[in-house]
Amino acid sequence: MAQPDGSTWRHLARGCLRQIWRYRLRSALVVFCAALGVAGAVTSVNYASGGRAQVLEKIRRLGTNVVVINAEQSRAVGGRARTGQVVTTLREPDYRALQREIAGLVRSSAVITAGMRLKAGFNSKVSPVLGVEPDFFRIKSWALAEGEYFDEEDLKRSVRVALLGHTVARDLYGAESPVGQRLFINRVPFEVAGVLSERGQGIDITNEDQQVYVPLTTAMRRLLDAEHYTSILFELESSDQMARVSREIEELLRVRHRISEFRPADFRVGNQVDLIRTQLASSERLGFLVRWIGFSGLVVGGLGVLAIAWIAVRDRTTEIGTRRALGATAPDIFFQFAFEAMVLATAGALLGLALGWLASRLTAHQAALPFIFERSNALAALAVALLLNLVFASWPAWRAARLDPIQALKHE
Amino acid sequence: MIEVDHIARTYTRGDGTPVPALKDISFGIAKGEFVTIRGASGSGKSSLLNILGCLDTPTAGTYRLDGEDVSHHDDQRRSHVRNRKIGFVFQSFNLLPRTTAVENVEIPALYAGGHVDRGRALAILGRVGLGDRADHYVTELSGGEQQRVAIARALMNDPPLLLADEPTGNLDSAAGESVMALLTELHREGRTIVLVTHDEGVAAHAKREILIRDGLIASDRPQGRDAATARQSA
Ligand SMILES: Nc1ncnc2c1ncn2[C@@H]1O[C@H](COP(=O)(O)OP(=O)(O)O)[C@@H](O)[C@H]1O
Ligand SMILES: [Mg+2]
Repeated sequence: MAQPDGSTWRHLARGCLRQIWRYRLRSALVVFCAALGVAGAVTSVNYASGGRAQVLEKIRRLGTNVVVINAEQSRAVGGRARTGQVVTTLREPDYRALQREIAGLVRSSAVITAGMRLKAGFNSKVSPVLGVEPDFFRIKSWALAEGEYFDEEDLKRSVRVALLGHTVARDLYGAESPVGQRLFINRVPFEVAGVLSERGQGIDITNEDQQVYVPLTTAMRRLLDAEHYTSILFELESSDQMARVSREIEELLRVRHRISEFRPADFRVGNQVDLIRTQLASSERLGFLVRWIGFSGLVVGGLGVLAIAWIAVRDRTTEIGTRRALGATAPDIFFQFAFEAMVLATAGALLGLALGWLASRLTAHQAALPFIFERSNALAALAVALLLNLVFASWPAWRAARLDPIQALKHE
Repeated sequence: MIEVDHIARTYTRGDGTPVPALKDISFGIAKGEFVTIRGASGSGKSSLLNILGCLDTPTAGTYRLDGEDVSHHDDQRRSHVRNRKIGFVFQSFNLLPRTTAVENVEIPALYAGGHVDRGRALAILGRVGLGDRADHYVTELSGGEQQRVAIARALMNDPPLLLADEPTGNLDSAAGESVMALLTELHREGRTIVLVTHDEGVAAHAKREILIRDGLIASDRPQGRDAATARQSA
């Protein structure tokens, strides 16, 4: 056979498009199957990526090299839990001793917390107020949305300035900028120095956006008249030292508080690394599962393409026989059917990509996860879909090509 | 044009038993002849036509088409022979639905490589009297018109041989007559035509009739208006 020239290819291509139009319901089904497979895969994988990104973000925020000492009522005192009672045994001498004795600490902040009434203009609400040191925000890698942090000088002079969590700022001041405005905390007048950037729900239950932050000494002297801390945060040089530092803190505080190692302590040394590890591992497992689900979606979509292409070959047997009698070779028939199915499957896959983008947006919004559209994932899904569809479209096309022309012509 | 030399075609049933559809057939057809192959149902007409049309190969014997032994060609080469040398006309027209008349006529050119000449397709449609129907969808045409489109399609690659299997079988008698008139005209223009039928009235249009019975040639004789002169010369 002479090599077909451009005109022949154009005719064959146009013929294919016409067949696609001629069997438009079936064509639409192929597009639909292919699109659904890709959209499903893209959406589920993006959803998993969003979940993973959220966990990673929480970890980044929390810091993997932070140790927290919480003053805590030991559960077993007197044989039953006595929660609700404020523990006042964690104090400045402990803090200084820890700073002095334990190696590998880079930053620290003592914290005292209490729920207090806030009032700004006519707005009022009860919120946790935290007295913290300036390093608190560095340990938390927490940026300001506007205004300024307080500094060591403010601590020294117990200045009445406050930093507001994002939600508190909105609740009390609405759209207005709170910076420089007056805020009453338990009737004590403060000036708002700044507003912190939005954090969202943390890995623990506390919502840091709903809290107010004031200098540690201001909280202790001017608001609470207290000498104890609620907790102490230490940032370590590296997370490798976590175990050693935790152990040393535990030992030192037990000695200082005269609690033998066999009795429950009045503090708890914790780090959230373990919690994070479990969360991350479960998000990885979910990601793996979701990838498989996505892949199965692609296969199911491909099987839809296969089924419809298969039916098409059966329904068009007479056409195949006729074309063969008129001189179409077996490869001609193969390419005709494979090309038709691939045009549709490719259109479907691209449509699926667009649908997947939309659905990813929607699910991310619904689940309050970050919207992530990983281009590499999308391209991988597209590539797998096209490959699968090539196989699934080629099989019926191959069958069409192998039909005996005489039998095909007899077919009715 | 056609030389058939002791060909046989034995099918094998699903259970392995052989079915001898053609037993021992030999004949020749010269360029420009108009021949009918007639016989009862099951006598082997279609089997013979499939071999003549290079859709099938004989299990024994040789078949030469236009001087070329095609009895051992593979599927690919037979496809090319069909495309260039044979025009098929089917009983049920076999036009592609939802496709226009002229697009149907162009199909053989698609598989010939080279240029698809729409002007030629239109000219042939004009030749079969359907110049004004070129852009009609085939489902909008009557049976007789559809069969004429099919004949135009068979002529697209200007093949030396036209094969028709019961071309009037699905037509009423008036439409059947017009199709036979067209085939007769094409014969007069010098085309070689082989037509399979079980209908003596249709067979009467041809100049020669090969009668088949049980896979063998029962008779092979001149027919119609030429019959007398041919018999005299014999
Ligand atoms: N593919 C096949 N397999 C088995 N037997 C067949 C096949 N095709 C035709 N036959 C048998 O061969 C004989 C001749 O068939 P055919 O050539 O179709 O006759 P006609 O066209 O004259 O009716 C019949 O007995 C038929 O049953
Ligand atoms: Mg028959």
